[in-house]
Amino acid sequence: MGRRTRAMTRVRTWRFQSSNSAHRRVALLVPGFVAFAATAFTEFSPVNPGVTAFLLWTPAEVGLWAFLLGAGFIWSARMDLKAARRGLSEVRRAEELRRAISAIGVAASWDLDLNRLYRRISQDLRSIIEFDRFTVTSALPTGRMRIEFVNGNAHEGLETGSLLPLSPSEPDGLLEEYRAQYKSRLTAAIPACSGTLTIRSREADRYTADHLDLLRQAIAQISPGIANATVFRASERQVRERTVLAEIGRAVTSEQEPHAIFESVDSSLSRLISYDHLGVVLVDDGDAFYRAGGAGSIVYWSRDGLAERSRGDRIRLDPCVFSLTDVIQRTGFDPLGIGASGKVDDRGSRVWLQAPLVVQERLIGLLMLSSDDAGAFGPEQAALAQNVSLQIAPAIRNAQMLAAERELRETLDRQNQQLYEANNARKQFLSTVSHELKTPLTIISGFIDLLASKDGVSSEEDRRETLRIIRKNADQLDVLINDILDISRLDAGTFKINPAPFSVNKLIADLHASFQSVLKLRSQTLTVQSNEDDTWIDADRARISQVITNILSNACKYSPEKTEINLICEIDGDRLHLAIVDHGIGMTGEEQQSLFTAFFRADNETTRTVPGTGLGLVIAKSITELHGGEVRLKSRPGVGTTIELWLPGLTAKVTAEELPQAAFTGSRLWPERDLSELDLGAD
Amino acid sequence: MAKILIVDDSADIRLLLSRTMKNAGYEVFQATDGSEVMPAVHSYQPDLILLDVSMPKVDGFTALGALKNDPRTKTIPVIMITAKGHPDDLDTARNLGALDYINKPWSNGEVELRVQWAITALEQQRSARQRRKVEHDQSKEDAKLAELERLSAEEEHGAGGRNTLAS
Repeated sequence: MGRRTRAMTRVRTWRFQSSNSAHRRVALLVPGFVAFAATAFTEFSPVNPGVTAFLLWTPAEVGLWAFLLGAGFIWSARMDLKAARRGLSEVRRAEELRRAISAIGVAASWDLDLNRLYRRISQDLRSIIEFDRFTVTSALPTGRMRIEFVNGNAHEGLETGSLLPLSPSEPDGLLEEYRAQYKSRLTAAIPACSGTLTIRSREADRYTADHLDLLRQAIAQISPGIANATVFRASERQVRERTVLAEIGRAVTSEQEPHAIFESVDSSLSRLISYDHLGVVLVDDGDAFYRAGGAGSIVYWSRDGLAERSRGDRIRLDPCVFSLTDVIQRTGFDPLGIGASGKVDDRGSRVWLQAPLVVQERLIGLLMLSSDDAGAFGPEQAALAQNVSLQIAPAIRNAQMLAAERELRETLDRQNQQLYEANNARKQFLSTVSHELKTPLTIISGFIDLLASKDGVSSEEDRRETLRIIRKNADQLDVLINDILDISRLDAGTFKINPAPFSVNKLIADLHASFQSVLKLRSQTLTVQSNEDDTWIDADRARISQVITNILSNACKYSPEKTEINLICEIDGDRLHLAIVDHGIGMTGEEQQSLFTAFFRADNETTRTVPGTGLGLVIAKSITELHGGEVRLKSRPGVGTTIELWLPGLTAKVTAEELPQAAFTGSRLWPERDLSELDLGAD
Repeated sequence: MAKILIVDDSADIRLLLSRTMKNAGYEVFQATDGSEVMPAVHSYQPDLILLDVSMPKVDGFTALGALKNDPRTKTIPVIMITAKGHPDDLDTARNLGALDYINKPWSNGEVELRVQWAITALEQQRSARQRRKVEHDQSKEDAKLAELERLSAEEEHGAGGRNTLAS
């Protein structure tokens, strides 16, 4: 029961309050009027004789009086009523504003996305203050401000994210034009994000101090929301940074190739910092770099668009990058504190962010970021770059060491392979030598045994034939042993040549004569083509003769019967040029490459039917080179082989008396024996 | 007279070996390459082959493998001749089924001796096989007789048995 009464009372009070002052005034006027009437009645009462005359007033007069009085009261009451209504609407209006402002604050506290928050504020603010353009800017530590949000017409260079100087040192046409367009401006600071909120109107003198007051009140309401959103954005960025750093960390531990590490860093970091290029420079000498700058080479350069830099370039690094005052002055942050530094390019507006790559207190390189956006890099980016460089520096070092180790291993493998091949070649050499030496030796000893036995050789003819075979094989052994000795001398570097002037034409004529018997066996012909009648050269005649003999015997051996072999002799500049051309089996490219290795013989049916040690060309090449000349080979399988020699030391004709004695006291002359006896052909 | 096939690409070696072998009283045939071994074996039916290892077209080991793969020629003893004398070569020859291995240089007496030994062994083997064959035939004959005896005995016994059952 009591509860109900209290509720009723509350309702009644509310009604009274809501009927407000107008009713109250009317309610107050009525008793006033009654009181006046009562007073007038007592004053002019017929009971009181002093005022009898009053009673003489006609009822019309009384009515007029009453009417005037009543009208006066009514008029006054109406006036009061009007004033009361006006006051009421003002109060209502003020309350609406208060509500709108608090609604802005409430709305602002709901959204954690700064951009959406600004949009909402700009929409809500329109119900309080009229404007044509709404901008939020924030001050950057680099002495610039960034436009965080714009609501209004688009203006080039004044969009969201644009950077402007806080106080332009020179008049900016763009800004002037912009300012001329909006004649009124109202700016209030937003302490929560160290920025400002500006509204502009095209009308002149649009805003008053009341407007500024309203704007400030609105900002006071939205400040907590902006502060929250700013903190949220910061923590969101931290989460993103941690994620990216973790990604980089993973890449760094899983990748072993430096380039893969850089690519991973590039793709991850570009999500956090907006830059145009990422470069990694490895410096030659970290200590020198700290002292006076230094040189390094670019090992990674993302998006090779920057003309003056690309991968593999050598660059000189500017020591002034590390001049602290310069960095602090230009960028507003202290590189000592965070490690990374920024620099504005002298040529243009490009800015650089450089983070040193340090391993065990030694600088190994730099991580560089470049951007054409002058405000791209601030302390946050520098700290991030430094963090990344701390992560990747050991990985780069590891990768470098791994690469060095791999290279070492490859070198060792290669050396091992070479040793293995050399050992194999040695084995092959021994095997071939033993075979080539033992076969004639077996024949010699075998036939000697036969000769020695009672019934070994029956006829005189058999005996002669046996001796001839023994002789031939002994010669074969001699040739072979001399070749092997030559090879081992050439190998040991003890091979001596005794140069003396001799006539090349005479030598070739001698060789031509001595080869006739061999050529006849295989019905081959040797044609000598010589431009010069009498060419003399200062060389070891016996050795040069050996060279030509070796090449010619090969030409005979590996040419079919009834073919022609050409020996060309001419003067090429200051050298003697000899070419031996055959039309034999030729060689493949692979065979040609290994031709000049000891005991190499092209492996095919024809070569296998031809005995030989494979030493001839090696000796020929070595002797020619000892003379300062060169040997070249041209060959095509099935077409033939051409071996060319160039020998220096052309000289004038020398008479027999002028010849030094040494020329005749040299080693063994070649060839001394009848070549046809040698086993040169296939049998 | 035992027949010997000499396979070597060097004419001098062939001449030397054939003279040595002829002097020792063997009949000698020659081939100049591994590729000629099989035709020569089929046409001459040699008792022993002296096979050089290094020959231009088909080397001695390949020829030896071919000989030992053919059931008609696998029983022919082969003595390898080589100058290389590497232990691996010796193993290869043994694994392929060579009887012996002569290294260059050899003395003629050595070759003669080894060939003689091989031929003697071959002959002994042959005579043993012949003897076994005869013995085998004899035992087969014996077995037949025994079987006949057993069958006839059984017949008698069996007839008796049937009689017993019927009674």
